Amino acid sequence: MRRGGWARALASLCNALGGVPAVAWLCAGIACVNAVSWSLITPPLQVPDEPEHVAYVKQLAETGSLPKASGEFSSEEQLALEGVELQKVAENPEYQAISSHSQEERLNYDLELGERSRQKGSEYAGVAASQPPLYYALQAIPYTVRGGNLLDRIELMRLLSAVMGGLTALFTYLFIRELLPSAPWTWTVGGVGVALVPLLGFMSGAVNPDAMLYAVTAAVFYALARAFRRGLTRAGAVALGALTAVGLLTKLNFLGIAPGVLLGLVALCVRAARTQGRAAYASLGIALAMAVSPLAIYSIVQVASGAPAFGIVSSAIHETSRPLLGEASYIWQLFLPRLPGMHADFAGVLTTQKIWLNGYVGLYGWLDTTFPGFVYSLALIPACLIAGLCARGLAVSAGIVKARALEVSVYGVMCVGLMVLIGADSYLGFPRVDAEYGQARYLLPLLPLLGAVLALAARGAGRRWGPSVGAAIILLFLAHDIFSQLQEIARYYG
Amino acid sequence: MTDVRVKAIVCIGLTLIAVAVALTLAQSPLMAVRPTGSQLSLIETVRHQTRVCQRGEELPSGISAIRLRVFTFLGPRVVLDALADGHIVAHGERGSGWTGGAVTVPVNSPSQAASGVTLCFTLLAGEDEDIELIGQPAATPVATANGQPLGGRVAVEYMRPGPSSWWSLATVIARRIGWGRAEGAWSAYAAIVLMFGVVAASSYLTLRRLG
Repeated sequence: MRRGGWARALASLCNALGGVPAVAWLCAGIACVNAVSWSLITPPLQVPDEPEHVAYVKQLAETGSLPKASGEFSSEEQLALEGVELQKVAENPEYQAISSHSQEERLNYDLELGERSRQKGSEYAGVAASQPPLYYALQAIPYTVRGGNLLDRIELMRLLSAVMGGLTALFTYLFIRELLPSAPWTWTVGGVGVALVPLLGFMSGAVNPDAMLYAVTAAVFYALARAFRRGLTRAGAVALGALTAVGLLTKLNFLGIAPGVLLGLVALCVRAARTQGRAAYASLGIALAMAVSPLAIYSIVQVASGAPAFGIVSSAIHETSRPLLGEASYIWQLFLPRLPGMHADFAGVLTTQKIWLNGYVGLYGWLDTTFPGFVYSLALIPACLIAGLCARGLAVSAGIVKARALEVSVYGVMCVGLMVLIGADSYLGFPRVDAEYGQARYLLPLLPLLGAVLALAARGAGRRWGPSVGAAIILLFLAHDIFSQLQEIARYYG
Repeated sequence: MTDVRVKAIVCIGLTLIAVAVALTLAQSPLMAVRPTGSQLSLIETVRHQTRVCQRGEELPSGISAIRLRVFTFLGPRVVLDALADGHIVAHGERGSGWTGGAVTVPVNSPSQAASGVTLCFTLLAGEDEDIELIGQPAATPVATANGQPLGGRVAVEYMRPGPSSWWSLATVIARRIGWGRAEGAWSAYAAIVLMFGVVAASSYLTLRRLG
């Protein structure tokens, strides 16, 4: 691009940022600060797979090469893991994080030893090794900037994740603004509600590519909603293509979202072609080329090195040799109640509630930090009320929903794609493990839709009572967040 | 002008949250009466509906929950009975959906301590998922699963409220949060300040945009 081109692009970015309302920035600030708070109360390495993600960053930052799925952690990280007694504490709620001076002294000694280690990188990154490198490359900046021991560097890396949590809330607000342009007061309900989701704070307060995946997906939702409302421009198509590429470079889970985004692009292009003619197809071509380029480059590199074209995804597809109908039935039941005629894969368990709602309400740490049982039953009341009000909101706006059926279908395909990906991966371990990936955090890329549900619920209460209901929803989410943090503190330090 | 109803909801909501936090912190954390040792291992992997009975348990008084060391990804419903001389002295249930390496089952508090208790718990698992019973190996069988002897004793902890409230433990907890961090106990205080900021910003936005 020529200098003038860069200047124009920068100017349009500044314009776009200037056009972001202050409320959206405040929502972002709330989510970011909330995630920082979570990062301070969550002991280092006590988030699912955080040791592996840290190892990936270490390898990339110190050696510039990618880690492997086998081997062992670097001696520095190994010493840190021993110091924080990860093996003893994780999944064992009777053991807390460092709880005595002698343990702290040992940890400091271990960290000091680790700091003096001359070993570069960490060849082993376990489950993280199969993930694309973009998030880890970004995390290499705080990792390198901050000196000190490994835990000091983790603290700074967690702050970068928290910024990504803020972006998730920001794009959610902007998404709702595009979705419900006639009800500005509802945008705040969705934006602040999502900013206060405890699981978003927990995951964005950790070193985990999920934090970036949520932000990128929220940006995709916003870009799609904007294009559906205002028409697909060249810049919009490029943005969607670039975001898809970033998503694919962030975490493999984006593969579940991508088909919906591509469908949206095609639908938008066909619509735009009525007014723009061939130019619309040129935009689509550019967007598609940008979107699939990371995948194409990756598969070329893989094939050249004699590995399966799509890495772990190819292996997973190859492993699935069981009947497709059984797999489809399993995936259905993983999320929804069993239909007549289906074999009971989760006998006696209503997965919608037990896995997803309960997992959303409270399951932190290494899936070992929970509320008392009654809290999950109690949570059904507001969940049903919000769902009911949302249904009413949809019914009231039936005409608008009908007019925007295509857009809604695209969001539906994105949801279904992600769910199928989670279900198909879980099916690989079934029946030995019922629902290996049955964790609510995997559905958080759909947070903008939760924001939309909250906004619609407030709207469903009517103009007279809507703002009051919206205020109640925000306070409910605030209370949920505060008590979730207290539960985390009780688990690790009580 | 701010909508009076929105204002009232924010005021009442914040007050309720503050009261609920204060009441929660006035309670005492649940503590294991006799913590299990760290030398735990896999005793048995079971599937389907399984009833485990374990002899020779000491049931302390004043307990409010029993924690069983059972590992699974999608925990089934658990029904638990403690029997002394053929009578149920404690009973509790926990719904399905728990996950991880332990399940805490709330129980009705037994009026007095009892020894020689047989603890029976039923894992109402319907399918083929592995459920691991964790505990200590024993030379002589003290526990059975569906009538078959197990190679050890499942780790069981009896939980009752500790002597101190959360409030009185606040400074100790703040210190613990800081251990291993460059900022020390300030990490905890920083988290509190940040959360006050979150509360203030959320309330401001609610009043400003919805009122």
